[in-house]
Amino acid sequence: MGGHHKPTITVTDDESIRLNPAWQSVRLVAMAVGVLALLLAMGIGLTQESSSYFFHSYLTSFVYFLSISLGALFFVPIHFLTRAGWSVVVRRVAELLSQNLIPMAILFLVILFPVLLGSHTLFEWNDPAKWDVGSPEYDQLIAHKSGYLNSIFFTIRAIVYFATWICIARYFYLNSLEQDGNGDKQITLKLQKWSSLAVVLFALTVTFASFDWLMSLDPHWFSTIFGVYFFAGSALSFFAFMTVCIFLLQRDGKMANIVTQEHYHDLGKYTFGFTLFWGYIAFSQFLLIWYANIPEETGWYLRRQENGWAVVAILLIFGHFFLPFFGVMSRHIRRNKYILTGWAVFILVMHYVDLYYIVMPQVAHGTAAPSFGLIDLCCIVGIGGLYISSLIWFATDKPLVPVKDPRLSESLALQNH
Amino acid sequence: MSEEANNTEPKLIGLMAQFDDPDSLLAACEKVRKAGYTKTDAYTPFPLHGIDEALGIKPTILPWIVLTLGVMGGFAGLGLQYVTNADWYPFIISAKPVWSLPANIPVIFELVILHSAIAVFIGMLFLNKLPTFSNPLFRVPEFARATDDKFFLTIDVNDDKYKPNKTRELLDGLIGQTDVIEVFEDPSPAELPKIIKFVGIAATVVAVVPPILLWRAYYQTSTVPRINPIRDMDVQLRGDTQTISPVFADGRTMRPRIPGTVARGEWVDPIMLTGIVPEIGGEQNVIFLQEEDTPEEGADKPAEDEKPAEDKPAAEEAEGQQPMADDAPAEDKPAEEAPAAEEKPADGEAAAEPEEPEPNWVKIAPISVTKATLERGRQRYNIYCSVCHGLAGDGDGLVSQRALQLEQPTWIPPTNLHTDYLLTQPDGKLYNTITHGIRKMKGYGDQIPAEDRWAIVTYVRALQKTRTGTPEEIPAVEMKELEIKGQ
Repeated sequence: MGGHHKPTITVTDDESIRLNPAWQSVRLVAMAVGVLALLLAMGIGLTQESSSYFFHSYLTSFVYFLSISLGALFFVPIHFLTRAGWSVVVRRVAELLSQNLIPMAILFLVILFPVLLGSHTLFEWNDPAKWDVGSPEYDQLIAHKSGYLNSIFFTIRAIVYFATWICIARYFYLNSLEQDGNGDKQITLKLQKWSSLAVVLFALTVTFASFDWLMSLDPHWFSTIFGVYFFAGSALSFFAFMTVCIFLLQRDGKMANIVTQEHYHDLGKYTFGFTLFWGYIAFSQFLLIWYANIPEETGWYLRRQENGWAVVAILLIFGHFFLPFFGVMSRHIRRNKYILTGWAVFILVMHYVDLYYIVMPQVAHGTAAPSFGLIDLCCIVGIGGLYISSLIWFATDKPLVPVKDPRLSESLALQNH
Repeated sequence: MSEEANNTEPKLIGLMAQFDDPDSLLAACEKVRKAGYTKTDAYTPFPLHGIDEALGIKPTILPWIVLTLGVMGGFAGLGLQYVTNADWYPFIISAKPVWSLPANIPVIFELVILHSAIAVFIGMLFLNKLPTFSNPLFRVPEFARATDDKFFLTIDVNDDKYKPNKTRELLDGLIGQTDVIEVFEDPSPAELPKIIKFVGIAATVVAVVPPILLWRAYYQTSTVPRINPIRDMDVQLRGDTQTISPVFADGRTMRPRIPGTVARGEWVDPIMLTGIVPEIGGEQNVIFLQEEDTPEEGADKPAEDEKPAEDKPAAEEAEGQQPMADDAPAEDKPAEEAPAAEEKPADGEAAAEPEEPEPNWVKIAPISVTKATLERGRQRYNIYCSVCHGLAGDGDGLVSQRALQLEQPTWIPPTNLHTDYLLTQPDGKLYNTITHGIRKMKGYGDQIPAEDRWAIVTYVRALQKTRTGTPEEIPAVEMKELEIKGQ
């Protein structure tokens, strides 16, 4: 309706919606830096007295980039499930981000192999002494959970998660690319049909993956809302990352008239909404545990309030919730792509702090104070470099907008009121 | 509307242009706005993107209203919880602080949402000047299609730019315009119909009756039980003071303190409690717990012995002990000699109480004496003591006067507090007498907290000073003040 009085924008499948060739050199540099940084991290981390710090730090960075791609994997089916019109112009970027689940699966091997080899530096439950009744280290609770928390079943589940995610990501992406060629409207209907199943599978796998890789770091602890907590952070970091991606693309002059202030406004709304959602879920988890005051639940938070971790917790309350909440509350800020991108970068930093707060207190059972060292830096640069490199590789020579999507014109004419 | 107005031509209040499609309307709005008109409005069958900009409507201030009310709601929620939890009912529940932020956040959150939602609703109505029951546009037959397939643009005659002919020309010249209609003021009277007024007044009156009845029921005294339509918390399933409990064998709802225990917050220093300095070697607890064994607290004994419904025997037993000790000798002697009875216990006492040397009484009250203490002591003395001992402590209280007037044979006149014997008595002993009583005097340990009993002791000392004090004892400054007052 709103399009009546606006000049109609047409999208032509040409250079204006393709990645700038200059990014190819970025890809190579990112790849080289990533590999070197990872090797350096391993070199330092694995030669230390205990490799515990390295594995925890690696897991933090791994889950950090994984969560961005998982957010993208949530966004694409949701777009089809709700038959959304506004998001067509930014959907391809999300599709490309979800492709990165493939390299993430390979990077997961660094965590999976030690578990299969019987290492329990990262996952305490993998220690056979904990299951052995005769052992002095026998832990009744871990023994009780060993039916679920054992290396074989852990591996099977990990394969199921990645297989599910990659299948969903590839299915939506390849169909979308096919539509770019033939403009078949049936493809949209087909994807709409399968999106409901994709969302259900996504919810289940993400919940259990967060249980397996983050919650089971402290095998005594449990929180049924933990999957939602992880999802909230994932979706938020995805919207922040996508805002940055689109900002960078537009800085190159790509998608110039296609992605407008209105789309930034909508991305900002999502960022705002998920900031609130994250705060809501994080607080819900904390409040119930704090109020019930049951020892098997409070231990997790107790560990995160001692040895200086309380500072990180307070940093999260303000940095991950209050500041961005009030920061992107205003419509004027959401419609300003420079300020919105600034907040997106801030949120991405805070999301790392959030995962750091979840994972790192488990190092040496919470006796160590929070510290950010060379290993952490190398892990994040290493995985981040490979992540960006692979993202550019996926995006090369592909149209960055689904040019023949039946709802493209609706998305182009988007107006917020 | 006056009669005159009815006869004349109705007043023109605006011009309205009709359009068949939204794009023409948007273009027309642009044009009218650029011509400088501000009192304009558009009517469409569906929300039209871009109409705000086309008409030059300023962004709404509703978000600010909502934010303000929402933040106020949040503070209201915080304040409500602070006042109720930390101030009015400071109960510790499951070891949580009486007031802690995490527990408050859900209520704060909900109140922010509630206030915001109400602010959106009321603010929207207010900003849209709703509810409006009638609009002159409704009298234009063509306007009905504004909810169907026609688009309208109106210009108010009160607009600064409005010129009858020029405005008309402007509207006529709009592209896509299919009709220009004159809108006239509603000639029907603006007053409410009488029947609505009557019903309104009657309904208001009727609506006021129940609150008045409720108010009367709650705040007026009555000889019959009050009507209680909403029971709320008035009637609760709980044991009230002085009622019979089916739960406990002794039938008492109020549970006596378990012997040998002190309730949280009720610990009082033994010296403070008993007025006796314990001997070295510290049997403080024993001395402290002696209070439990005193006749006045004899009621506690049954619980200790686990004998059901022992109230009465216990009381008798208790009375049987102490009165024998205190009353019996006193009855034998004239009232004036009562102090002597205390000093040299009569033979009968030895039988009831084990042979015991005079305890080590506290010499001076173990409380800090301030004006407030004395004021408190005076107040408590006037309430509890003055009825017998008299306001000045001469033993001439009203009860005593009346008893003597009636020539009650068993009445022992209360002690004059200004006797030499009492002047020299240690504070601890005076305190002990207030606590446990003496002769006909009942112990007040149960009614008056220890601190207040000491306050009474200091006040009695002050009373005594009114007879024994010398001008030299008064500090010079206060003496001066007194002299000034005396003049």
